[in-house]
Amino acid sequence: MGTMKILKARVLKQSAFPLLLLFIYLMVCRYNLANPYLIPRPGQIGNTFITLVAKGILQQHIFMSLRRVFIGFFITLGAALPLAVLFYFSHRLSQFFLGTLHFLRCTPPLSLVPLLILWFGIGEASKLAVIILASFFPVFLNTLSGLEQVDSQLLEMGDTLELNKREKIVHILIPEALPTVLTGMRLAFGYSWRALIGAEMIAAASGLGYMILDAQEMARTDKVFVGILTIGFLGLVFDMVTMRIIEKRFPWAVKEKI
Amino acid sequence: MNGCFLKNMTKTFVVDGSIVRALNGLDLNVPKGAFISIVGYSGCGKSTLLKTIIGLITPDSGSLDFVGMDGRTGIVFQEPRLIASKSVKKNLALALKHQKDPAIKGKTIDEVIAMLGLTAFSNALPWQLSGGMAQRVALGRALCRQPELLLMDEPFGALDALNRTRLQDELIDIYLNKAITILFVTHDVCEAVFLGNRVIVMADGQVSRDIPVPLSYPRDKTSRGFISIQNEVLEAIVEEDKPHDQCGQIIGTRRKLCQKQRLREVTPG
Repeated sequence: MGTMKILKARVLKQSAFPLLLLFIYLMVCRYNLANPYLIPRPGQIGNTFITLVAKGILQQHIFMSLRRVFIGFFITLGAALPLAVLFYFSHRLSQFFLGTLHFLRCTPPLSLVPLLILWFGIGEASKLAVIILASFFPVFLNTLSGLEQVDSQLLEMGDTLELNKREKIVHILIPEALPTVLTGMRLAFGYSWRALIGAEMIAAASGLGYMILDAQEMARTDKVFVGILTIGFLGLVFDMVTMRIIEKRFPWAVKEKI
Repeated sequence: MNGCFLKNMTKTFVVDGSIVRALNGLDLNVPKGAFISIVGYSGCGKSTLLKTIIGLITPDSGSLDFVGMDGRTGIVFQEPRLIASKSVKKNLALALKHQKDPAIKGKTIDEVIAMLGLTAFSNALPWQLSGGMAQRVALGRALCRQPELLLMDEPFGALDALNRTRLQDELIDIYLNKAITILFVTHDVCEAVFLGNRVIVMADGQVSRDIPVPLSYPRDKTSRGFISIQNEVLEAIVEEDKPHDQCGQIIGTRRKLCQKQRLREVTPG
């Protein structure tokens, strides 16, 4: 079977269930099986979407949410990646801190929101803190585990080629750990996206989470639907784009792990 | 005489609280230009010997001297051990880190790639290669270093029969054309006799038998002379494979297998 045929078959399979849901939704609306307040009609959602886009409101909320996610995500990368490398090389350090880190890993970031608001206020800092807490552990633990899983036989091979420590890190450790690191980063992005929406629903004056909560308070389910669909759609697009970049840049990583 | 000389080499490991003598006062002379096959039961110290020569293991005592050789060594393991993210060319380039001139580096790599018939795959990644091709790359990586002594630790052990036969023939060509010295560890007695001009039988961390193979290349595995040497090597392994309390059963089974193999090979047809 050709690549195009496989791709078509995959797309068809993956869209079957959403299409079924859409069909059920259209039938519910067509035969008035649910209260329009609870499940708004497609036209109503479409109109609201167009209005929000035309006024620039939706773009503004999307921009705010994305800005927070990207800043938080990159701060996470800056902290988690070097720390994982440090822990890999220092057994003593990892013994000292791993227990605490595992405790924090088991604590849902959203449960810390009240404390974070008290400490950092309702500004950007508390929301960034939530994103960092949500994305730190997937990146940190996957990087550490990726490094630890590098085949010792490869490092032995590096010794036979007289590679020094730096060369072994650059040529063996990092490339070999990369598939696991990338998986961690992909997971982390999804986690931070979800955590951000939660944080915005609790304490924010902008962003998609805030927009949904505000719409709920105004009894605008159509606007809530626009918010939810936008969040899901953006999450999916980012995941697909990340996956495509990984496939293109690191084909061996996709082959091996993802 | 020029060559690599090991004297009274010892190496002990502690495994689960008990001491294992992997090398037990081993003496071995590897004359320059020799092709020596090393056989022996598992745990007799074959791999430890190679790792000691290349410097991966530091011996407890003993000496290793290269006379008339510069000590440049290369090693091929049973697994290709290639970096998954690097192309064939880049994997080979890792072996040439001391070569600063990019032109010479490129030329050496191209020559090795052509010699091993990998030109069409020079930019392929390891996962795109078959087992036989990956092992060729591993051999190429060792050859890039232009070693005077090539160490091979069961390099064809994980390959299918066809690839194994091809690579054995290619290795003989390389040996004859490059005037290289080879130490080749294998579990396959037929392979040991087919390749080496000496077969060393190891037992308990020492050389127990040194059997010459006075046959010219290419060798006929069905010839009377070949089978006779093969049987001699098998006998030597079985002789050294004395059962003891802990692994008597395993050794007994292995002995039966050896005898079966010998019988099959001496029976015509």
